Amino acid sequence: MSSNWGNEIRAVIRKELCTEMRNKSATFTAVMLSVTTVFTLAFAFYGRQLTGDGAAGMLWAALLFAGVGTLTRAFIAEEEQGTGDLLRMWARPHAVYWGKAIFAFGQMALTGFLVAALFLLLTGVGVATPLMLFVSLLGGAAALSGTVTLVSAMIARGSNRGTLAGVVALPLLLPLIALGVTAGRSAFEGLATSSGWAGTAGVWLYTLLVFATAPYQFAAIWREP
Amino acid sequence: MIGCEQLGKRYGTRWLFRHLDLDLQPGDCLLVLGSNGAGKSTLLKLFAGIIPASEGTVQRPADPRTGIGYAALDQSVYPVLTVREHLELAAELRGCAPRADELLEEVGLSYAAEFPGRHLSTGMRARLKFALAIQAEPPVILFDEPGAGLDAAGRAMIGKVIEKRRAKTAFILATNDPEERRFATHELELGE
Amino acid sequence: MKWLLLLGMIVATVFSYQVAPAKDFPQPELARIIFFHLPCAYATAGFSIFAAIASWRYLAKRDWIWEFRAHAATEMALTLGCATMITGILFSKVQWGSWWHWDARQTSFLIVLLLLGAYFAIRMAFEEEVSRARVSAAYSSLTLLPILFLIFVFPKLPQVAKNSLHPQGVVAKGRFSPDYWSVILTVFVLVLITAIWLYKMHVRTSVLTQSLRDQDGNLEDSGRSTTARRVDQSVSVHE
Repeated sequence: MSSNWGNEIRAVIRKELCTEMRNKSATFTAVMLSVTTVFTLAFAFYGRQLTGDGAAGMLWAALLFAGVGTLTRAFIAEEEQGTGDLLRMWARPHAVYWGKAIFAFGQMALTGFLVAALFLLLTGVGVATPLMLFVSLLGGAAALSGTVTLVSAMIARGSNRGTLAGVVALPLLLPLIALGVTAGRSAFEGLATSSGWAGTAGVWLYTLLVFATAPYQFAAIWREP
Repeated sequence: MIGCEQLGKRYGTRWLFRHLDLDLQPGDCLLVLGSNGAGKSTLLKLFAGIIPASEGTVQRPADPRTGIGYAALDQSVYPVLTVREHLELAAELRGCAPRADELLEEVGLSYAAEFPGRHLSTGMRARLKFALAIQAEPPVILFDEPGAGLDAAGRAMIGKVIEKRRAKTAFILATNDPEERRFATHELELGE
Repeated sequence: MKWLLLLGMIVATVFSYQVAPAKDFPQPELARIIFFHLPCAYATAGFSIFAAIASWRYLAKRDWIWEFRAHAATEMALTLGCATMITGILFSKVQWGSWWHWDARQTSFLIVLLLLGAYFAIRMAFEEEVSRARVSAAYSSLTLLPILFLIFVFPKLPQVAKNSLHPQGVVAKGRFSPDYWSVILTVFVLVLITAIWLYKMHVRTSVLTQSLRDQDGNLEDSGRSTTARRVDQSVSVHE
């Protein structure tokens, strides 16, 4: 990748960061959504003994809803405020995708660890293999950002986009959740570590495949060549 | 430079236009006329590459970032970025010089360089969009309703922007304003 | 054609009651729904994968025929997938005691149906046909890997497979009698021929609709009025 690509991607990230920093409402809403999701799930299981399986399922469900709720704004916001065409005219599609996805990854990694920390605090679940949990959550954050960024671009110019975001993104991410839960279960219980690491590897493989294909799909829908 | 072959666009079963052939060279200024809903803005978006054609092909400069300048009425600007930051961001993405002071002076917006987008009036936004469109001195410039929202001084500014670049640029203007006919070397009327 | 298919299906149905029941199920006599369940599942997988590949081709070539093929294939995949799901749920109730078990194969197949359903949600959200085609093709091509994973990998993962109620390896281990197999294969061929026939009709209809639109521009008006307005409007260029 030439330095021009690097500059363009950095410019998109900087623009996103600047927008996020100056518009506190979006960041605050994202944090509130994450906190509320974790709290709701933890509250639903209040007083019950959580197994490693149940805890992993809840944690990944919380990540999924927080991620989809937050990251689908990436392109929907551009279209709603009428700036999508500016980016179409100024930047190459791959730079836009990578810039948005890398920014979304930063956002999702922070959200993910906030969600995980809150979840552990509220449920009191112990982590037997913290490294496995960390690595799988990091991979999950990357896969979520890559997928949801693309989904956001796909639906940004459609109707009913708020609802459509969930309908499109959730089934695409369910296989990732299945892999993440396998890793999470093992990380919480400290059992079946080989299948836990296999699940973690699966999460990263999913991430790799998403980033290998999504930029091209993005370029096909973003603007005319 | 910019043109199309057998270009057509339809929404549902209604064709806005079809079988359109055009070839514009530097010095040409095509005025696209037509009543509301005739497809003027759509035609400009097709040339800009923002929306896909239903049929036919568009020939446009290889790199639209520096090859096409586009300013439209339905475009907006980033509410939290200042006027200067818009020009700097666009320059970084396009790989050209920002020329912020020079461009803002040309469009009469120097005094608002540090204003955030959300504090700009319709006319000020229009001036910023013109500055952004001409930033890379592209060989093709597309203006959709260039005079809309501008005062007399703003309209005069548009005239100067066009006259200054006419020799080396192909312009396409979508408008209903009879005053803008003075720029035209060609006219295209969309409609019945 | 359709009468031959109907006749074939009747013969296969009658024949399906003549073969000896499979022994591996709690209610062997009632397991015959497998004759329809398995072929529909295989055909769903085939059409889903083909739809994703056709979408890739559309994005690469921008040729409308691939968009029509992808759309028709996804429609067939969803229809056959629903048939698979309904027959599976009936089987689950009869053999395992409840309608839904969160069994790995049941769950992964439900996700496949959700993926296919989202394709139509996307299509409905875009009125303009080229954008609709592009976005739905990008989505459909994106589903290829999750669908392959959900159908071929996930249910076979050791930790998943050991908890599954689905009889593991019944097909691979050949625990159905040759007669049982012959009915399954016959129904599979019949289901496949019917589905391909419907798929081809859908593609042909799409091609015809497109060419009608290209010719007179207004399909809705042209059928009901002699004064149908040509919408390839006059475009004049004055020097």
